[in-house]
Amino acid sequence: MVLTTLKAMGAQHGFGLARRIEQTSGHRLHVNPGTLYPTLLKLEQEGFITSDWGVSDNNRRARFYTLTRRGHRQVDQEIREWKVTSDILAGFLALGGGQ
Amino acid sequence: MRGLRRFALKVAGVFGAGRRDHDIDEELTAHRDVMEREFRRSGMTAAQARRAAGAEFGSLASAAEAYRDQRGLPALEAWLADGRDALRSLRRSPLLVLSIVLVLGLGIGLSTAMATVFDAAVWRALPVPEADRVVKVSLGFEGEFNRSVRGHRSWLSYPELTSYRAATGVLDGLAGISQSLATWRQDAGSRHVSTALVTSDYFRVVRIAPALGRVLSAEDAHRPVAVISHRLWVDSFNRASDVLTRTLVLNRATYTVAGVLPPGFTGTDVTPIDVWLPLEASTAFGGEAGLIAEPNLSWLQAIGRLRPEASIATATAEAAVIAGRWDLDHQGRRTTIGITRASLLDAGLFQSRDRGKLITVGAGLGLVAAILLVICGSNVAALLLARAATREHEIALRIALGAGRRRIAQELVAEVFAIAAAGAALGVLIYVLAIRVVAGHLPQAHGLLTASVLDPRVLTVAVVLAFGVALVFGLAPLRQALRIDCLAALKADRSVLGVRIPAARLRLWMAAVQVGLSVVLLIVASLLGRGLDHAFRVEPGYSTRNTFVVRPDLDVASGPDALGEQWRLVNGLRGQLAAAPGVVAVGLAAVPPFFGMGFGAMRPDGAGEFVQAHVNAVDPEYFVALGVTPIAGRLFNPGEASAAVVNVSLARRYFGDERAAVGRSIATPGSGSEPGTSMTVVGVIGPIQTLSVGLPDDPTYYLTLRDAAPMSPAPALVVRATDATPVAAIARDRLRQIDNGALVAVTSIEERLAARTGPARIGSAIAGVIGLLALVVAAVGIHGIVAHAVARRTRDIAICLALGASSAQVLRGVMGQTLRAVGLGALTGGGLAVVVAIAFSRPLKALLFGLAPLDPAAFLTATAVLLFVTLVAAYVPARRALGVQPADALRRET
Repeated sequence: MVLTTLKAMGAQHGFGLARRIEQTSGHRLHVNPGTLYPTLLKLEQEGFITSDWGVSDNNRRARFYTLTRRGHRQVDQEIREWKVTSDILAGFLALGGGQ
Repeated sequence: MRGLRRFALKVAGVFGAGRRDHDIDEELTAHRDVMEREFRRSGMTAAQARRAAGAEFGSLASAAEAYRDQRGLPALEAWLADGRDALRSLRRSPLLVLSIVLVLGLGIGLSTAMATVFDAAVWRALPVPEADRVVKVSLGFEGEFNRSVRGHRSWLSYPELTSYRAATGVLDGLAGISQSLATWRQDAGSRHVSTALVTSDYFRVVRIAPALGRVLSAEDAHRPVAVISHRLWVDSFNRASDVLTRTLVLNRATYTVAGVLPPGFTGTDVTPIDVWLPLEASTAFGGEAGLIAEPNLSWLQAIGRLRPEASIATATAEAAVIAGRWDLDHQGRRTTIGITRASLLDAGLFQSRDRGKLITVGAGLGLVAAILLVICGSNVAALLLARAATREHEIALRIALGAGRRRIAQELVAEVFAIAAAGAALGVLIYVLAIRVVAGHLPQAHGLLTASVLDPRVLTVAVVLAFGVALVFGLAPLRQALRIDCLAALKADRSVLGVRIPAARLRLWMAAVQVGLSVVLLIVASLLGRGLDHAFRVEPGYSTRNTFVVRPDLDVASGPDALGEQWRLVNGLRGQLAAAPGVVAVGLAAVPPFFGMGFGAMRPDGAGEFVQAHVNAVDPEYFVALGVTPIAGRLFNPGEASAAVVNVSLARRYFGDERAAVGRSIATPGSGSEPGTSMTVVGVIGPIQTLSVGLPDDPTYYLTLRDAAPMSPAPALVVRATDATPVAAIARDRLRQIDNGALVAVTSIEERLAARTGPARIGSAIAGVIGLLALVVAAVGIHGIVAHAVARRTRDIAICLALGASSAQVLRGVMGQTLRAVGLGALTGGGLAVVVAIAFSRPLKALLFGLAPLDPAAFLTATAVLLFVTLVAAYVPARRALGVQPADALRRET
C-alpha cells in the first residue's frame, strides 16, 4: 500500500502518505503513526525507499520518502502477483456466488 | 541477502541513537502538528484540535518506541544499557570494586604466571621437531650394588647405553650426553665454553639440521671434529664464512669445526651448549677413555626417539625386560628403567631432585594458585552480596513496579562481567610483570619464559579464569538478590535490621575463608623464612670460615697417562699452595664439601649384607683443613692405606657406639674383576654437614685416596687460610707457574653453603611475596567489607550516637562482627596450615634445614601479623563511623 501510494504520488512525507492511504481506502482504513513509521523504516532498511529531509507545503521541516528503482520493481512485481492471486480468488468467489 | 542488509543496518542503528531519536521525535511531532492544523481548518478551536489530533495520533512515545525497536536490536541495546548501569553502580563503591579487581587481577596474574613457570620448568618439551616423541631414559637401583656417580644417580654408563641401544625395538636411536665446561685455549687467553659430549646418533634423535656444514655422524665417533652453536659462531667467529676450516683447542685437544647449528638450538638442557663433541673421541683425547668401558658409572644422560608406532607405555614395557636382563649379571641388584617424556629443565635446574618431588612442588604451587583464586572468588562474592544487600530495597521496588527478575539478573550479571573484564586485564598485566621478574632471577630459563609471554593460550586462560571465578562466586549472591520478598523488603525498617541474617552469615563466612587462606600462605612463607634463618645458624660441624675449594681444570694433555698427569698437577699445586703465605692447611678430597657425595655399598664386619652409605676419599690433611677432630680413635696418618674413618651416625648404626667402632672393619664390594677391599676403622668423627644443610647426618665413611679406585679422577683441593688471604689470586698465580693457560675455579665453602640454600631462598621469597600479597588482598577485602558495612549502617550508627551511645560502644559494635570473622578464619586457616605442613612435610623438610614443619614460632608470627593487619584494616573504616553527624546521616537516603 505504502509502495503503490508512493509510486502513484511521487515523493511524500509521512502525514501525506497516511492521509492518501485513508482517502484511497474511502476512509475505511485508518493509518496509525505507530505502525506507519516503523513500516517506512523497514522498507528503507530493505532498500525499497529512501528518505530525505525537505520542506513541506506549510513550510515545515519534514522527511520525504521516495521510491527507489528497486522499490519500483518490487511494486510491479507485487501488483502482478496480487493480480494473479485476486484472479484466482475471483474465480473461486464466482464459483461460490453461482451456488 | 536482504535479511543481512537489514541486520547490518539494525546493528548500525544501535549506535548514534541520540541524533536519530531526535529525528524521529521531530518527524512524529510534525505529523501530529499537521493533523492538528487540519482539524482547525475544519472549524475546531485550538484546544479541540489538539485534543482530536492527540486522540487520533495516539501516544507519541509509544510510536517512537515502536520505531526504535524496528531501527536497532532491542536485546543488544538492553545489554549496553546494562553495562552502562553496571559501571555507574560500581562507581558508587569504588574502594570495594577496586579491591576486587586488584584481588582478581593478582590471583589470575600470579596463578597463570606460576602455571607458565611450572610449564616451562617441567613440562616444556625440547625445542626439537616432534618433541613429544623424544623420551628420557633414567635408571634406578635397589638392593646390593656398587655404583659410582658423575652427575646424577639415574644416568647411564656407556656399556649400559650401547646395550640398551642394541636391545631396543621401540626407540629409533638412543643418544648419550655428558655436559661439561671445557677450557678453550686461544692466543688471546683461555676461557670456558660449555660443551656436550654426545654419541653420534644425538643429532638423529633431536633431528636438528645444521645451518652450515654438517652435524656429527657415525663416522665422527673417533674423529676430532666439533659442531658449534650459532651463538658461538656469531660472537666468537664473527660469522666467519671460513669457519668450517677453523679449529678449536679444547682441553688441549684440537677439533676441526664441522658444522654450525641453527640459531634457535642450544641443546637439550637448560644450560645453553656452545660446542658438541663426539663422545668417544673427546674422552679418548681427555685421557678418560676408561670411562667408556666403565660398566657401573652413572655419567650419561640418555634421550631416545620413539618409533612412529611406539608409545611411552610400550617403551616402558620393553625397558622392564631390558632391566631384568641386566640384573641377571648382577646378583642381588634390582634395576628399574624409567621412560619419561624429555623436557628441557628436568635434567639441569632440578637435577638433584627426583621427579616425584617435582610433582609435589607442582602440587604445592597449584594449591597456592587455587588458594589465590578462592580468595578472589570470595571477594567477588562478598562484593556482590554487599551490593545485593544495599540494593535490596531498590530491587524490591523495581520488582514491585513490574520489572522482570530476568532483567534484574541481567543487570547484576553485567556488573560481574564488568568486574571480570577489569580483573582479566589487570591479571594479564600482572602476569607479564611476574614473568619478567621470575625470568630475571632465572637466567637459564629466561628465553623459555619470555617466549611464552602473551601466548594466546595464557590470555585465554586469564579471561576464562576471571569470568569463571566471577560467575561461580557471583551466582550465590545473585540467587539471594532474586529471592527478595518484595513486601518484606519494602516494609522492613532496614536501618535497624540491616542485612538479613543469611546474607550476613554468608559474608561473614566469605571473610573467614579469605582470612583463613591468607593465614595458610603466610605460615608457609614464615616457615620457609625461619628455615632459611635456621640454615645460617646451623653448625656445619667444621670451620667454613676462610675455607676454600680449589679445583684446577684438569685439561692436561691426552694420552694413556693423562690421569697420572692430572694427579701430578694437583699434587704440584698442593705443594705450591701449602708453601704460600697465609695458607694454614691444604687437603685433598675426591668430593669437596657441598659438591655432592659419593654413594656406595659397604659391609660392616659381622653383617651379612652390603648396605648403602655415603663415601668420600680424602687425604689426612682434609680433616685438618676443615678443622675436624675425632670423637673416638684417630684420623688418617700420612701414607696410610686400608684404613677408614666413619662418622658417628655410621658407628652408632652398625657398631653400637663410637668407641666400639674403632678397630672394627668395613668391606666394599668388588666391581667387575676387581676384588673388594677391607678397611679397618681407625677413628670416628662427629656429624659434619657437607652434603646438605640441616638434615640428619647419613652414615658416611671416608677412605684414603690411596684406597680409592685408581680410576677416580684427581681430587679437588680444600684450603684453609688466615683472614684476608687472597686464596683465589694465589691459586691462579701458582697454577700459572705450573701450567700457563690452565684455568682454576676457587669457591669459598661459605659461597657453596649459600648456593645450597638457594632453592629455599627462592621458595621463601615466592611464598613470602605471595603471602604478603594475600595479606594485602585480605586487608583490602576486609577494609572493603567493613567500609561497606559502615556506609550501609550509617543510619544505625547515627541513631546510636544520637541516643547517647559512646564512641567505644559504637566501635565495638562495628568491629565485633569483623573480629568474629577474622578470628574464625585465623583458627581454620591455622588448622589448615597444620594439615598442609604435615601433608607436605617431606618436601618441606628439605627446604627447612632442620626446622620442624610445625614450628610454633612461624605459626604464631604469621597469625599475629595477619590479625594485626586485618584489625587495622577494619579499624580505619570503623573510625569513620564515629565521625558521622547524626542529623546528616538521618537525612541521607541510604
